[in-house]
Amino acid sequence: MIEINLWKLILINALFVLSVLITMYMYAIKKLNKFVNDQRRLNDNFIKAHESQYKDS
Amino acid sequence: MVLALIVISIDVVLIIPLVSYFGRRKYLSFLFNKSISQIDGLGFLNSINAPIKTGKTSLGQGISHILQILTMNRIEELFDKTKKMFKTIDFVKLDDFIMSDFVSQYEAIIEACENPSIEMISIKKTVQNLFLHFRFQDRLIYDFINIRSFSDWMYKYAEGLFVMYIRSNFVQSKTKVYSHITGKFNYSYDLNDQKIYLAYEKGEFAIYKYMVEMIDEASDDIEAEKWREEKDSGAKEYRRKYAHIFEETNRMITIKQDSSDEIKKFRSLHQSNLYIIEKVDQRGTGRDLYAIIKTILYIPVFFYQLRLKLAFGLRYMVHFIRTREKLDYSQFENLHYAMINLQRKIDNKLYYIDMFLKRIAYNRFHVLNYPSEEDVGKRDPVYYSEMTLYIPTIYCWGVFNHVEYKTIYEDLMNVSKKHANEVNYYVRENYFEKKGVDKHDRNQSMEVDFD
Repeated sequence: MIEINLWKLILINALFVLSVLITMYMYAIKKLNKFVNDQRRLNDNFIKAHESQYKDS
Repeated sequence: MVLALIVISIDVVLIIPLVSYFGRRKYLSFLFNKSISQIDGLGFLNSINAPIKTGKTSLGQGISHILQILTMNRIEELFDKTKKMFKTIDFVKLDDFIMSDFVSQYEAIIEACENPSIEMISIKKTVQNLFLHFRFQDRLIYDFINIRSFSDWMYKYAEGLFVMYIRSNFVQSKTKVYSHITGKFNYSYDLNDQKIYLAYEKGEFAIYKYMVEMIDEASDDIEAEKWREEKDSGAKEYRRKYAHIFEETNRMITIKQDSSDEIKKFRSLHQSNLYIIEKVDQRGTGRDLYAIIKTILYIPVFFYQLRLKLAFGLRYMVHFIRTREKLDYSQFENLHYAMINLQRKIDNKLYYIDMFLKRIAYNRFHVLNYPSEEDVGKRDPVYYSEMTLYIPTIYCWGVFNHVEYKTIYEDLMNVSKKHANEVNYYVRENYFEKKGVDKHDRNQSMEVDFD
């Protein structure tokens, strides 16, 4: 009969969850950073409206 | 076992911010929807009273943005209703005709006028052209409750198209404000237009339908003083008949520090008087999430700082052996932070992530709503109903100049020839000379002129 070590099983499971979480965080930060940079650089009506008024003044 | 527990606790630490942040955001968006319905029920004439710098204009802007959304929804509803009412009309052709008529009218205006404005487009003319082109017959339509004419329906529809797609601006304001709904700045607003009797006499009136009228700092405006003195200019009548004049499409928001200015003239003419009792604060900024992001992004910075400390240690040792003098680490650190480096690059990244998380958060306003303006500020719960409004931060902050009157300083400094310097503590000035008291010369007064 195979003896199952419960704590080992939990440890492996937890490590798996941890790796998933860390990957998720890294991916989210990368995406967030890209999104924030895009928001800053382009397609913002706020900047466009201000720029046109600033040039007119 | 211990290792498993440690790993599980790390898991929990990483999971909790995610769950709490997204859960809280769900809850806040529900509260925002609740706030929209609360603001919809406030009425046509709203006033906001609060002490200085508690977020009056922020709340005003937030309400203005929500009212803009509601106005746009109302126009969409009008379109839907009109399409339902007239099943035999092809609205694709109708829309095309109306829009091309607007364009041709505007082209004619550009040729004729020096200062062309899209507000010179006549919707009445468009409806006349519409009737001629499609050969419509005017008739009355009864829907079991009301009677309205067909031409009235068409006028409202054309007006809706004009407001939605040609003007697409829903704010008239005394101060400069930006709208995130339309991506434009406000229409100008002349307070004298409120005096409708005088406006009729002069033939000058420029307040339009489907507008949110914002009157910021009404108490320190000279107009507020004048209103009290003058007899009847129509400003009171304007407020009494407000919903009638604009056919329930407009809303007015008056913002002021001191409610007593307007009371005498416009006694209890506002439908709701909001009084802010707590300073505005933000909810759902995700500080715990930000802390984790910062920890992860700061891993390379840790190694950078370690390298910096090693370099400092070497330099310290060499310097100490040579000269027996000590070096200051904070000075060294500041010097390196001022140069282009890794830490500042990551700090910049973090700053924008931080601001982004704050941008998508919600502002919380704790306000009391008084039905009567005279009761504003009274703390007896008989007089007010309590409200907590949650409005997206982006609708409240950054859309107006929070130091609107900053030019006062520049204007004063430009004309001033006076300069202030550090005083000398030890110089003793004569108190009476400082006060401007003339010295009474006794010898002179005793003199008698004998000739």
